Amino acid sequence: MKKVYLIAMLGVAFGFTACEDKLDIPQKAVLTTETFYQTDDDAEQALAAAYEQFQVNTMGRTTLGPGIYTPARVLANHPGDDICYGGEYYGDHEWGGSINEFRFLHTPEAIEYHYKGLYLSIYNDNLVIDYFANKEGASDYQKQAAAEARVLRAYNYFLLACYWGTPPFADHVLSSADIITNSDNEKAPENAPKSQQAYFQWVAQECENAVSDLTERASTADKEGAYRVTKGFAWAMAGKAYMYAGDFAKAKDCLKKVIDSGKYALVPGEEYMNQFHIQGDGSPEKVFEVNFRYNPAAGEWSSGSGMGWNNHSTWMEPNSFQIRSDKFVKQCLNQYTGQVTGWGSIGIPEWYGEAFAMNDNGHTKPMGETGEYQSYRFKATLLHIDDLIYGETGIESIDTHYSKMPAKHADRVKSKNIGIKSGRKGHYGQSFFIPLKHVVREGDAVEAGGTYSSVHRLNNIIIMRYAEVLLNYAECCLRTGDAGEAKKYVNMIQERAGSKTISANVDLITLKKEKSFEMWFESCRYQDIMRWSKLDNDSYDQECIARLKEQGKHIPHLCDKVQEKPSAVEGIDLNDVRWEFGDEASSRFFIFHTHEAMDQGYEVGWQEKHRLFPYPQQILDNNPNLEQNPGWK
Amino acid sequence: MWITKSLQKPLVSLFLLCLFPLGAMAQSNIKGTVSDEAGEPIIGASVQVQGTKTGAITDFNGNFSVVAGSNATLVVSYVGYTTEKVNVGGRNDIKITLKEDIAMLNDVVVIGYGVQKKSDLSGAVASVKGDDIKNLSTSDAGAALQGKVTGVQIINSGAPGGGAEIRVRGYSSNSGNTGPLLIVDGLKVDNIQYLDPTLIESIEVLKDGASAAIYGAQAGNGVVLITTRSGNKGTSRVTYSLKAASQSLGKKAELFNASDYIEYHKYLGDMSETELVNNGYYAQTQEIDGVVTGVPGTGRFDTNWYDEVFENSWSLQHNLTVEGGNEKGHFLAGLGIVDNDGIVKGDKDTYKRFTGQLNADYKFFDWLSITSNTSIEKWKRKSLGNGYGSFLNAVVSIDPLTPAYIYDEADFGQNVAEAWNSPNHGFVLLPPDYTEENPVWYGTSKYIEEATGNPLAQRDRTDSYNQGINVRGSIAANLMPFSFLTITSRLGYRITQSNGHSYGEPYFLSSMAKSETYSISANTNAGLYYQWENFANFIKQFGQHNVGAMVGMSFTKNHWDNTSASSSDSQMILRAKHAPNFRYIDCLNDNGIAHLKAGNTPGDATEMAYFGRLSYSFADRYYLQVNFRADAFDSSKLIKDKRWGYFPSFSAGWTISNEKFFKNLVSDNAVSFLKLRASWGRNGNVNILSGYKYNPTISLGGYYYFTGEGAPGDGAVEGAQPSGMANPDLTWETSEQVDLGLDARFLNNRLSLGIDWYRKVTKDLLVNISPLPELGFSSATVNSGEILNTGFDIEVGWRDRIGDFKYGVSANFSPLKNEVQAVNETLPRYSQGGISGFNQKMKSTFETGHTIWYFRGFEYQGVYSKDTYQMVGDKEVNEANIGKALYAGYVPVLDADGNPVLDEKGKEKTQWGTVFAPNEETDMVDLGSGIPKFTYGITVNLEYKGFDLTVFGTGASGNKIYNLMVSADRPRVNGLDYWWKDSWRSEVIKNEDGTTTTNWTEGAYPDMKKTANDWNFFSSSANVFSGSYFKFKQIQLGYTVPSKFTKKALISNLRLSISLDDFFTITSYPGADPETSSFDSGASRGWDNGNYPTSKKVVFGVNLAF
Repeated sequence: MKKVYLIAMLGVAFGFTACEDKLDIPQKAVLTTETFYQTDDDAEQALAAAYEQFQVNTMGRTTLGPGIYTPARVLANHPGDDICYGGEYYGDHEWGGSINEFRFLHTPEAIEYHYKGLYLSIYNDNLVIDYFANKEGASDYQKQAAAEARVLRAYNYFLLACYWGTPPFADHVLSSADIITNSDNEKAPENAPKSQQAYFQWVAQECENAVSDLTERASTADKEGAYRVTKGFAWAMAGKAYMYAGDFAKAKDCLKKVIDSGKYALVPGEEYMNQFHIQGDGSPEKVFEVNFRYNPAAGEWSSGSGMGWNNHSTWMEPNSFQIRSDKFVKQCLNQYTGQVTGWGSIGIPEWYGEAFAMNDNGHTKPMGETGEYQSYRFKATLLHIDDLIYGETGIESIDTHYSKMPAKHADRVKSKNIGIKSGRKGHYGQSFFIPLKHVVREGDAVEAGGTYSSVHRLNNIIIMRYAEVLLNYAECCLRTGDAGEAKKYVNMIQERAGSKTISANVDLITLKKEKSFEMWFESCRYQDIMRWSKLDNDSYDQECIARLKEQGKHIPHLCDKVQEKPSAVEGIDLNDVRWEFGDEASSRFFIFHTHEAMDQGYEVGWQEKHRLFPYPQQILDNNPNLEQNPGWK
Repeated sequence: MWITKSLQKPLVSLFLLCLFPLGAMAQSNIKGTVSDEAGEPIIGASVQVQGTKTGAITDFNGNFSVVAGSNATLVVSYVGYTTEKVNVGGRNDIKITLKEDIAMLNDVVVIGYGVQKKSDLSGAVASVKGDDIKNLSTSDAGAALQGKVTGVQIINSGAPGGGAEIRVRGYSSNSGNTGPLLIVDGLKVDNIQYLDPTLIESIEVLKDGASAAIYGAQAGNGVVLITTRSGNKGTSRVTYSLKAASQSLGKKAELFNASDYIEYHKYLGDMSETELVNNGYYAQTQEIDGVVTGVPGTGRFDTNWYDEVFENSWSLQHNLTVEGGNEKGHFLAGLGIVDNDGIVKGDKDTYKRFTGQLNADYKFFDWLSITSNTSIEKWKRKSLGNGYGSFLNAVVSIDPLTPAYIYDEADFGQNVAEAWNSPNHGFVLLPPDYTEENPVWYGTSKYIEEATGNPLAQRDRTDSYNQGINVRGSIAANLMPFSFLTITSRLGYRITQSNGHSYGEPYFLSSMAKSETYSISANTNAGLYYQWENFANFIKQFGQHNVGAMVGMSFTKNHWDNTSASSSDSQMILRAKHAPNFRYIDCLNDNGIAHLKAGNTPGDATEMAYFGRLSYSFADRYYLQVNFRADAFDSSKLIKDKRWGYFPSFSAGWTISNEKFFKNLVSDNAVSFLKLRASWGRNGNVNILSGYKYNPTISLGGYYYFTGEGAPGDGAVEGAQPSGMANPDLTWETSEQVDLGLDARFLNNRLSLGIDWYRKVTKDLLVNISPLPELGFSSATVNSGEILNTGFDIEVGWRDRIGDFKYGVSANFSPLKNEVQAVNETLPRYSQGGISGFNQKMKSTFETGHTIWYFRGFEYQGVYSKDTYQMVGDKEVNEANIGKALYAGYVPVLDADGNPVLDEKGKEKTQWGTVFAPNEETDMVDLGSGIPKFTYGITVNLEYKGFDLTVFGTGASGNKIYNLMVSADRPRVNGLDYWWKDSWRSEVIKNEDGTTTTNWTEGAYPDMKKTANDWNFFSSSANVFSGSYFKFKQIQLGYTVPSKFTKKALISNLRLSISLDDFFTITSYPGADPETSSFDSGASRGWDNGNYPTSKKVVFGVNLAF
C-alpha cells in the first residue's frame, strides 16, 4: 500500500504546482501607444489615419455606418430649396425626406451620425497635432503633418459651427474627465470660441496659421496637390470662414491669394461635366478633394481597423442619385450608369429647373430632336424629362438604341414602350427636370485594375472647387465695394458655363443666382440662404425663405399620359395638374401634387429654429453639460 | 461516467455492508426469476447472496442461478426498483418481484467533481434520465431538454443541424453569450448538439448559484452536466434503434394570395388594371373583375411560395451500441448516424453526422481504476440564410403573382429582359435544367424590385457547406488508497477540425437582387483544447454524521490556428470559367491571385482554478454544504492583477419528514417526504471577455492615398491610431443567486412536488457604451449594468398503477421575471439588434426597468372615427381623418382658448394623449419582449401490457413577436394579410347630383390607403403579436413485443413506435411557428421576417436489443 501513498502524494504535488505564468499570453501583431508617435514614418501613418477619418467620418458614411447616404451631403444639401425629396413613395428614404421637408420632430440619424463623425474625425486630427505640433526638434515633415491635420480640424469645426452654432470645443485629445459643453458655456475652455461668429474666426485663423508649414500645389496640372491640404486650400478655407464670420476684407485677401497663386484654373466648358466624374479627379479646378482609389488590399466591408470601403465611400449613394428604375417602363440611364439600379431619391423643384433653364438656356424646352440650346453647365446638371425618355440629348451612353424605341420623334411621343409606368401615382418627388449632375457614370466605379462594385464610385468627393473660391471672392468684393472685380469673376464663371446670361452688372442678387446654378448640390445652398437672409434679407432671400417654408407642402408627382390618363391616377386632384408644355394637347408628361407628410399629421416647412440643427437627443441624454439649441428644447 | 461509478461502488458497498449479517450455510445451486410488477422479466438485475461475495445477474428472461445455502438470504436489486431481500427457504425456483422505486430515494446525481444522493441535495439540481429522452426524434441533446426541466428554456431552430440553445433561469446578460457551461463526462464542451439522446445516461442541470459555484467564473448561466452511458453490468448486449421521421412543413405565415394581393394593391392605388394588363397578367381586362370580386384562379399565376419551396422529406437516425460489463469494468461502443435532408426542396439544407462513442472503465486493483470516454464526430451541414436578401426572407416577400419558373421571355420581371439581352445575358441566373432548346428561367417579379427575388433562385445560387471533425474525450485515473478517499487525475481533450467552402458568381434576379462579383473562399479551423484536473474526494460516516470533502485544481488551455483564404472581383477569378470542378483556391487565375486574401493568427486561451467543497449531514435530516472556487484567466481576458476571482456558496437542507415530531404528526401515507432547502452562491460569466479588451494598442489599417497614380494599391499609406480607450478595470459578469426550495411527496410517494424560488442578480454586464462622442471614440467597453431574474421552478408529478395499467403525469412550470435594474449613467438606454436592411423604427432596447431587449415602438390606439375623434382633441369629426391610425404620444396642454400652456421655464407643457404622428424621441414605449414570461411542459405516460403512450407538450407565454414582413417603404413586398383583412375600407359612391358619398367598412386596423406608407404603424404595437403557444411536441405510441415471441429470434427486446412530433401547435400568431419565428436568440429575439419553419414529423421507431 505504500506505493499507493507515494503515487497519491505525487499526484497531489504534481497537480497543485501548475504555474500561473501559463496565463500570460502576449498579444500578437500590435504596437503600443507608448512607443508610437516618434518618427516621420509614424507621423505619416498618424496623418494617413487623420485623412482616412476625414474621408470616413467627415465625408463618408461614417464608422457608425448609416444606410444609403453620406450624412455630410444630407445635412449640407437636403434642406435646400433646390432639392425635392423623391423615392418610390412618401416614406421611402425617410432619412433625407424628414430633413428636406423640415419635419424632423425627433433627431434624424443623419444629424446624429454627422455630429459624431465630425468629432471622431477631430480626435485623429488632435492626435497628430498633440504629438507633433509642439514636439521639440520636430522635422519639417512632422510640422507639415501637424499643419495639415490642423486645417482638416478647422474644416471639421467649420461644419460643426455652421450646423450647431457653438458646439463643444476640443483643440487637443480629451480625457473622459473633461467637461464637455457648448463652447459659449462658462464651463467651456477659455480659448473656446464663444459664438458662431467667433468659431468661424477661429477656423480662419487656424488655417492662416498653418499655411507656413504646408506645401503648395506645384501647378494646375499637379493632381496630387488637390488630394491633400495645401497652402491653396488653407487660404480658400480661411477666406470662406472669414466670409462666414462677416470679415469680408480679410476673406477677400485670403481668397485673392488662392487666385494669385496661379495653381488653380476653371476647366473649359466642354469639361465642366467631368468635374463630377472620375475624369475630373485632380483637375485644375480642384482645390481639395478626398481621394478615392481602388485598393485591392482593403475589403469591401472591412479592412484593418474594421472599416471597409463601404464606409469610406459613398456606398449606395449612387443608387439614390440615379433615377428610379421601377418607375420607368424602360430604364433610361442604365448604360450611362453601368449597373446602378436607381432609387430616385433626389428631385428638382419645379421653380429651380425652370429658373436654371431660363438663365442658362434662355428657354425651358428640352434639347429634343431639334437640338435646342443648352449650356454646358445645364447639360451637366439637369435633364429635361423628354430628353431622358427619348434619349435625344446626344449625351454619350444615354440609351438611344433601345430596340422598342420608335425611330421617329413623332412616334416616340406616343410610344407605350417608353415613359413612366402607370399605377404608381407617377414618379414621386420629380418634376420636368431630372437631376443628372451626381448620377454616377459607368466609368466612375472603375479604376484601372479593378472595381469593388458599381455602387462604389471612385471619383473623389470635392471639398473645395475653384469656382466656389471665385464666387466667394466675388461676394466679398461686392460687400467691400469692389463691384468691378466681382463682375470680372462672375462673368468668368458664366462664360465658362456657356450660359446665355452674361451679366453686364453684377450685384449681390446676380451673384446669389449664379452661385445657385453653379454650385447645385455642392454643399453651399442651405448655408448661403441662412447667411444671406440674415445679412441682406433682400427680395431674393425672402423668396428663398418663402420657398423653404413651403417645403413638403406640394410634392410633385411626375406622370405620363400615354401610360395613364390623369383621371386614372389614384389620389389626383384634377384641378392641380400641370402639363410640361402648358397644355394637354402639346404635352405628354404632367405633374400633380400631394402633401402626405402633412396628411399624416406632421408639421412641415422651415421655421426660424432650423437655422441650427438640434443636438442629437441621445448625446444630450448622456451629457448634462450640453445644452440644446434654441427652439429645439 | 467514471466518477459516478467510482463513487457509486463504495457507496453501494457501504450500504450493503451494513445490511449483511454474518454466517454461512450449506451451498447449493439456487435458480429463480426476477420480474417487475407487470410480470415482465427484469434483465440485468443483481442477485447477491447476503454476507458473501457470491452473486449473479439475471439473463434475458430474468433468470438467475446462484450458489447459496438453502437458508441464505438473497439481496435482489436493480436500478429504479426497490431492493428486495428474499430468504431461499429451501426453494429452488424462486419468483422475485421487484417494485418500482417511485421515490428514487437512492438516486445518485452528478454535482460536479463528485456525486451526491438526490435526497441529500441542498441546492437546486434538476436531473433528467436517459430513459426520459431516448425516444425523442431530435438528435440534439440540448433540444431533448425542452419541456423536461423546470427553469430551463430551450430555443430551437427549425433548420437541420440548427442546434438548440439552452437558457437556465432567465437571461442574465446583455450579450448573446448566455448559454450554460456544458460538461460531458467531466469534459467542458462547446456544444452538446453532437450527443445523441440515446447515448445519455443522465443530464443534470445545476440551476442555483450554490450548486453551480463549483464551476466559478464560468457558471453564471448555469451548468449542464451530462453523463454518457457506460456498459451494463452483466450480460453483454447489442442494441439498435432506428428513427425514421417523415418531415413536412408546419405552420405557415398567413400571406396574401394573388387575388387578395391584387385587391389590396388596387385599393391602395399603387397597382392599376392597366399595369396588370400590360404585364400580361390577364389575357382580357374583364377577368380583373373576376378576381376583384373574389373568384379565385382567374389570374395567370397564384403562386403559393411555401408550396413551391418546401416538400416532404426524411430524416433518419440509426444508433447501434454494444455494451457489457462485469465486476471489474464496463465497456460501451456506440455508433450513430444522422441523415437529415431538410424540408426545402433539393439538398441545400442538410445535416449529416456520424458519431462514434467508446466508453470504458476498468478496475485494475482495489485501489486503482482507469476510465476513458471518447467521442468522435464527423459532421457536414448545408444551410440557407435568413435576413435581408436571403432565401428565407424571399419565401415571404416575393409577390404571389410571380410564377416559380417561366418558360417565355415575355414573362421576365422588371429589368430582367434588358439584362438578358445584354452581354453574357447580364448574368441572369439560370435554373440547372435550362437548355437553349427548352429554356426555363426563374420567375422574376414584374411588380417589385426586391433584394431577395425568387427564393428558388436564392437556394440554387448558394453553393457552400461547412464540415468538421471533433474528437472529444477524457481519460482518468482513480486512486482509492482508503475506502473513504478517492484521488482523481483526469485529462480531458477536444480536437477540432473544420472546413468551410463557398463559391459565388455574378447573378441577376432583379436590379436589387444581384451580384457583380465572383468570389471564392475556403477556411480551415484547427483547435486543441485540453483540461487537466486533479481532485480528491473524502467521504466518511461517523455515527449519524456524514462528512464529505473535496479539494482540487484544474488547468485548461485552448489553442486555435485558423486559416482562411478568399478572393473576389468583378472579373473572373478562376482558370476554368464556370466548371464546378475548378471551384478551388488552387484554380485561381492571375486576376484571382491578385485579389487573393489570406488570414491567420493563432491564438491561445488558458485558465486555472482551485476549488473545494465541504458537505455535512446529520441523521438524514440536516444538510449543509459549502463550495468555493478561485478562478484565474489569461491575459487576453483580464489584466494581470485582476485575473483572480473568488466564488463561494452555501446551502442547507432540512428533511422535516425524517423528524420524529413530524412522523408523529403526519402519516407517511399522506406526506411521504418533505424537505426544505436554501442556498446562496456567486458565479461569473467570462464568455464575454476576450481579445485584450482592457488594453488599447495602436491598430493599423485603413488607408489614404496621397497619390493618384500607379497600379491599384500602390501609394496607399496605412493609417495608425489607438484602438480604443484603456479600461484596466474590466472584469467578468458576476451573478449572485438565492434559492429557496421545497421537495415533497405525498400519498405514498405517488404525488411529488418540487418548488424552488430564486432571485438572481447579475451585475457588471459588459456594455459597449458610446462615450461622449466628443472624446473621439465610437465605443468603449465597460462593466456596467445589472439584470434581475427571479421566478419559480415548479414540478408536479403523479405516478400510479391500476393493475397492469401504469400511468404518470408530470408537469413543470417556470414563471420568470426578467428586468434590467441598471445600465450605465451615460447610457440609460440603448438599442441593438433588429434586422439590418429593413426600414422601420422599432428598436430592440436595453433599459433600466424593462425586460432585456424589449420592443420599443409606438402604441397603436385604434382608428380615427366618428366614435374616437375626440381622442385627438377634435370638437367635431374631421372627415379627412377618418380611417387614420391613432397612436399614444405627448400632446401640448392647452388652455380654455386652445393656446399652449407654458411651464415656469417657458417650455410648452405636454401630457400623454393621442396623436396621428408620434415622436420617435418621446413617444416610444415598451411593447413587450421576445422572452417568455412563463414556460411549461407536460408529459403524460401510459403503459398497458406491452403498449406505451406518451403525450408530451411544451408551451411558452408572454413572449412577443415583431412581424417585419410588411414594411412601409416597400408596400408591394408581400407579407401578412392580417391587417388588411381587418382594416377600415372606404368606398366612394357617386350620387345622382354629382356629389360623392364615402361609405366606410370598419375594422380593427386603419384604412391601409392611409397607412401602407406609414412607418409608425409598422413600428407599433399593431404588428407586435403574442408569441404564446402550446405545442404537442410528441404523441408517441409504442409497443414492446413480448419477449416470448422475440427470443426465438434471439431478440431480447423489440419495441416499435410511431409518433407525431411537433404536429400540433396552438397559437394566435399569424406568422409561421412562433417557437422558431425569431431572427436570432440575442438582441434580435422575436424579430420575424421569415425564418426556417418548423417541420411536422411522423416518426417511425424501432428499438432492438440482442
